[in-house]
Amino acid sequence: MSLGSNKKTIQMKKINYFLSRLSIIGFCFFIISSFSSCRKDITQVNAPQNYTGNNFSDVFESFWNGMNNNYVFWSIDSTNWDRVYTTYKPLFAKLNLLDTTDNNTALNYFQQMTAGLIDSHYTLTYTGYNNQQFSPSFERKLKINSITPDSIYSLPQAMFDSLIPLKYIDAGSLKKGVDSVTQNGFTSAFEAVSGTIQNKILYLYFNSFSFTQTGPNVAPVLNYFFDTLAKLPPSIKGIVIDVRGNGGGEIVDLDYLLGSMITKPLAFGYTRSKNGNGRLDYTPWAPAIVTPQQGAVAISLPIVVLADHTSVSMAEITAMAIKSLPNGKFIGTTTWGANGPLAPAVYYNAGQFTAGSYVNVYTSSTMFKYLDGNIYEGKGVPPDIFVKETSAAYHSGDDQQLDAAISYINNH
Amino acid sequence: MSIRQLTLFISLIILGLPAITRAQFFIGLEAGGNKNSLITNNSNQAFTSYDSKSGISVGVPILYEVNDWFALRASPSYMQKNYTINRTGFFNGIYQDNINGYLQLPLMGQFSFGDDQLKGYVNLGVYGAYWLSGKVKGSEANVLNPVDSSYTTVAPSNIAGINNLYPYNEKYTFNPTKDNRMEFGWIAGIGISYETNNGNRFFIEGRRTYSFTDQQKKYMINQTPRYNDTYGINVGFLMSLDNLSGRY
Repeated sequence: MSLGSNKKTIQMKKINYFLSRLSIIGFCFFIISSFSSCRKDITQVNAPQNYTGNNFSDVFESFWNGMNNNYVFWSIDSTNWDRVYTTYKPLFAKLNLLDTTDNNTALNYFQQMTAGLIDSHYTLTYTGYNNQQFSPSFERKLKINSITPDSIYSLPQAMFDSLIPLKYIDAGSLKKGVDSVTQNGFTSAFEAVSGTIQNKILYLYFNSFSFTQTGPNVAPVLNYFFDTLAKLPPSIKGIVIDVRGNGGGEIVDLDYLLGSMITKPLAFGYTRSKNGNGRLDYTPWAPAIVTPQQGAVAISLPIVVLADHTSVSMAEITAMAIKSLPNGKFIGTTTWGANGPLAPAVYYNAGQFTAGSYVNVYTSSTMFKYLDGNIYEGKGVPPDIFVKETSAAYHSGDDQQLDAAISYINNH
Repeated sequence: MSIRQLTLFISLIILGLPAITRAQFFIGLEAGGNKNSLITNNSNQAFTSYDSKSGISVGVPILYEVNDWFALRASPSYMQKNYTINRTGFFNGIYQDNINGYLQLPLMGQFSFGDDQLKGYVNLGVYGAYWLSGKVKGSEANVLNPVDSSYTTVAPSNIAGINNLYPYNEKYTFNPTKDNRMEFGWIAGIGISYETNNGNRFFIEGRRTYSFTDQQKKYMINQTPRYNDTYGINVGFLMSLDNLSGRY
């Protein structure tokens, strides 16, 4: 073989080598560039308040997605939210936002979609139409009421205004006051009653958790209670905290109230919220803790909490916290069932939101689990000792639940 | 290109090889670090970002060298694919590190170039992985452990001034409805290997694993997918099985 032929062969080999490497690199680039085609599209997720709400399709999308991402009870709620989507999306698409009849139809659809939700704080307010409100838990209680009358109604206010102060509270100890407070944008009366019963029991009633807004009339009532608690007379054998008919309120009040009766932190349950957009994306359970207050004294006497079917939210949480004390007892009836604490939506990326400026959704930001492992959302917290009020007893001047509390303390 | 097409292509290369002149098996050990990102969308969540997080990987590379420029490579390995969820602004301090361990089996074709001792190479293939374990570490605002700020006059500058933060560090409990523990994807790498006089090889390699399976099962409408995307660098060595068996 000639020298020239050898050179040519070597050159050809080099060219082949070069081309084969080039084709490998080209092939790799081709493969790498085709990587992304195997993934599903990741579309933008919009916050419900950012939808325009200019038509019912838009309103529905914002509401459904807002619920899908923000509602915290999907792990325990039996509502089939996907079925809601497939059923109601086409129905809303047929409605005209500028038509009154269609607006009323839309309200019916909203009620049907949310009727089974277990969140018992859950309330829809149709801010874009007539400002009407709809609460699934209240509707359910109405149905129960048709079978068991009076099951949704609070005890008469006269029970706390006159019957208890006049019949039960020792005359010289009675403290009673009413102030005006604001809760969730609504002004309401904040009423408190305190005093001793039979000189043996320290009693406190209050109708909402609004201690931070206490005015000149309620402050002396609370001061009396907490001052007496701090220097408990030897004659006192027990304490009654009455949250019957209490609609809840500010979370910090629990520390202020119960934190005055303990000297070590009290863990009484757990909360968790969302940490992602998926229905089942949750944070770990965080312990629910009552923190002792400065100057608190450890109360070892029986502490009875009176709560009933109209004790809601913080009233229920307080009942559970007291129930978890070794000397705590819950007497009354099963509570409302709205246990999940609320916070502004931005705190947890969960809970309340407005959908397309048409409907405001009031819903829990977190889920609560009691120390016993049960979640009482939508069910209500069962009492340790079940005692029901009756009209007959009330009209004869008796508070059967308070009687049971007195009897319990006298026997312990 | 679909997986099927790629598999076919690789098969053709292997079957079409004109001559297997010095087929040789290698086995070794590799370890390295990586940075994983969870590719998703959370633009509806205020003051919240998904950030990449570093992790580790260890594996046992197995190389079947078909000829001087092509080899098949498998590398059963344990690989972390971590990411962090961070709250920002007023919520700074709330976060969750997601430490996810995967058992991964990449199958790659390795294309080499260079001289006998120092070679450059490119890997390309597919992998299957099983989400073996998870751990979550972070801090959340504890709604039922409030800072009693309402009774003070200090305006909070951070969420920790309203709710005490709850630090946690616990095993992640898989949810069979939500979590897709099988993962498949592409894998590509580029590296340099150095062969010693006794035929063993040391290598350093940059690698990208690119999942095309959602980290979640399809369990709801309008579900936003989540994909792992990992860049790593591994160092390791390969020993010829001939050397191990005493044949030179």
